[in-house]
Amino acid sequence: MNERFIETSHIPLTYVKKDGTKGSFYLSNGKKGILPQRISLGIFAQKKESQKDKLKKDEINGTYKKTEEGLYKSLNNGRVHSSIWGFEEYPEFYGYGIIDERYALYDLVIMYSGNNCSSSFDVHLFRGMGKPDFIQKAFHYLRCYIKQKPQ
Amino acid sequence: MKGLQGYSMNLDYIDISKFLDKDRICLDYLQRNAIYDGAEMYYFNGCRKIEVWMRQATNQVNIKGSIPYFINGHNFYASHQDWLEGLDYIQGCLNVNIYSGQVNSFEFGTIQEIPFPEPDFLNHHIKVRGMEARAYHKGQVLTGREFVSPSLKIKLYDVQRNIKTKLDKPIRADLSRDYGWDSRKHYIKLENHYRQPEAYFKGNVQLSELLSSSFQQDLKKGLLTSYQSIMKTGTTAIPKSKADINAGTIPLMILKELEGLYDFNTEELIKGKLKEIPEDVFSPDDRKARLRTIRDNLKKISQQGGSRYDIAELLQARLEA
Repeated sequence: MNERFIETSHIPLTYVKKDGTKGSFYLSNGKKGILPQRISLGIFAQKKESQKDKLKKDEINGTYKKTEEGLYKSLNNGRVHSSIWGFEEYPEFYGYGIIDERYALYDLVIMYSGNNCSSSFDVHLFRGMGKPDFIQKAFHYLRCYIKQKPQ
Repeated sequence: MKGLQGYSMNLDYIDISKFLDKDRICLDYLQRNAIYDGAEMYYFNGCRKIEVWMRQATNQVNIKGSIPYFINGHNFYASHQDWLEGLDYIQGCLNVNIYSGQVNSFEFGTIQEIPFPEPDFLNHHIKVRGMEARAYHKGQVLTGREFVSPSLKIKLYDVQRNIKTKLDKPIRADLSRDYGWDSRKHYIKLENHYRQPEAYFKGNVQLSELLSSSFQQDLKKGLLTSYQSIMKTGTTAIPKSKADINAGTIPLMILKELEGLYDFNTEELIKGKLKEIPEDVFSPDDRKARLRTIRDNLKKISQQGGSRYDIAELLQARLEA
């Protein structure tokens, strides 16, 4: 799978934390109508004592407003959720998640932040690339993409 | 050294159909285009589009397009791995096992560098016994030939022109880097378009079967056989001396080359034509004089074994690569 193909499925979005909130981020840059304008970051669900959960880094949650259009609005009453997992080979990234396996969708979300998500993060959405075979390729593409991007 | 030698022959366009039974297809990744004759047409966006047709009446989905174009943005070459990745991506998005789908038609071909200008090469590939021959021109220039039967179409065309006119500059740069493509060289594409695989292979062909190494090997041999079945001109040796090539020699060279293809004798035809000319125009001496000149010209032309435009050996080398 070459970079040109991965590029066609890539949608970059930037979220910035709203002042005075614990983990509420708003879309500041990127295409509207993909993920909700507001996304929260943090593990709010009751934690299970499983080995798998120890690898979990975070969770993203968001709900589309009534007037808002979105790629996943028809699923789960407009609520978007994904766990974020670390990927050891690409430690510069905050983690990755998949939206939304419950609905047989495999859109890969890779999160990148220069400030460990304390004030902002980038969400890189790769449509249809949430299958194990493609995840590493998307990470590799993104590493090159971020290196080439003017800082 | 970079070059095409390491890259073999590969599949290109494909049309797959799959009966859905109780399975539900996922349309979330598709862009709806239109409805034609009871079928809904969608697009799958990649480097190039793939068409997905939903036929509710027969509960069938059709996937049509070039996987190499979809996954790489060009069809210069696509590896088996490229194919698997492209198909895995599509079936992952559609939630349908397309490997068990039936292949309705497909193309299998290769790009070959040739030591002649493409129009010259095409001009010397004339016909295939039992197949309809078609020629394609751009202005006055011959750009492609097709030999068509109900189940198979052999395509031979100037791929260099396509690369230069249809592909973007960054992709052309990739072709140079990855496959040694050179804009100053000459390339043709030879393709077998299996229009009715079920008739040609005497049974339905499943996608998984098509991708198997034994089937691929058969397709490679089939491509070479197709090329060998094309009758070629270019069997006369061009005289070394300029004095031996006059205005009368050139049409005779062409006629001599066509003898083998169309089963006639040049000299007999000319004699017959001379006899048709009334005696008040041509006296018997005039006739003899003309015939003598023609015979002199024919002596200047010698026939060689095969056509110098025959690239079967180059293709054979690719097959063994």
